[in-house]
Amino acid sequence: MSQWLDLFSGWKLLLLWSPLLLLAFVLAMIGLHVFAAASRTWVWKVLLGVGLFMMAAQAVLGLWWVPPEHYMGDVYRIIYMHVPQVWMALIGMTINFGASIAYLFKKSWATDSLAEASASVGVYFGAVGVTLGAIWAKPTWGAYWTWDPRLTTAAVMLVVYSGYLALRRFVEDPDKRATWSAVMGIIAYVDVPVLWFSVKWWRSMHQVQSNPKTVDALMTMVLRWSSTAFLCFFVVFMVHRFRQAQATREREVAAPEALGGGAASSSSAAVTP
Amino acid sequence: MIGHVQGGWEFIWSAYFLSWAGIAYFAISVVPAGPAKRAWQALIGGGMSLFAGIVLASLGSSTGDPLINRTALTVATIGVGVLLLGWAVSQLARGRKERVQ
Repeated sequence: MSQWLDLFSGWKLLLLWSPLLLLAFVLAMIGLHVFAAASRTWVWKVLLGVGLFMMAAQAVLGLWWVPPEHYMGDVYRIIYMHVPQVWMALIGMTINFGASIAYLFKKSWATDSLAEASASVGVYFGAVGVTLGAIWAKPTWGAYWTWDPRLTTAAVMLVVYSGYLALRRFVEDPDKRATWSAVMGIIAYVDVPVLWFSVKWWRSMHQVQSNPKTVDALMTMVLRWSSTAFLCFFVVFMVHRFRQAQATREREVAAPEALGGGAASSSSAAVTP
Repeated sequence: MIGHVQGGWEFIWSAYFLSWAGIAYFAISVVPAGPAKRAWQALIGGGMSLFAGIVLASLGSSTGDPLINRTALTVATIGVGVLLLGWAVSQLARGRKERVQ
């Protein structure tokens, strides 16, 4: 308790709460990007700048400023890279799940593009997050990989969503591709809650999720700082992947005869920005 | 009694560098295709390889394993080669841009 009271004084107050203030700022920027079309040309640049600044500051805070952990020593500092990237992967898969359901109801190309963008960004962050977990496992567990429930479900998630992205590449008809991948996105998401709760449901090498009550306040602060930086990058990547996917849809809808069967979907192919 | 982990900075640096390089690589992947994009990808790939060589060399010097040292030298050499390739492609891209202008 005393450590928390101490953090409400002076510069520590600013450092502890600044990630939350910046998170509120990032969420406001996301809202602006979604609802105010005129802001779409500059919002992602602001987020990229904030992300780069926070990532540089996080390197100083995470690598030097925060003291080492009692048992793991300095190696625990990998947490500031590993955990936020896995979180971003889970956010990406969750957006994919929501967009897949929305597509089946609305048949909108925007939701299909959102599903594609979120899976792509989610797989990227998931692959890096799992790799960092393996790097962290070597000095702490003595092995890069073990088939424990958390690691296995993470591997399954990566394989399934890589298959999802492969499916999108193989199917040329935009309408069939969107419908099939929406169904696959919904089925693939079954693994995500299993991954999240695996450390509670089964005996696992991987530790149970920490929370601010079980972690030192300074470590919590740096983790929040790092997570907000990765959230900025996540949004920037999503914006660009979404635009690429939308541009692809526009090309496909403009020349459906070139796709060999894509013309069947032209009635529902209104590309919405 | 749970053992205490000592050192391990090569793992920490590997994790951080991989994350930074990954972000840079993904950021470039959304840029439209062209020689400049390939040059940046080569520079990042070469930088990652060079860094991996340095990390391996650090591991080799601490363990004294000659195989790790040889691997470190090979990986670092590939890294320098890819970096030079990236630099050459960037020069070609710049020359082409100037000719177009």
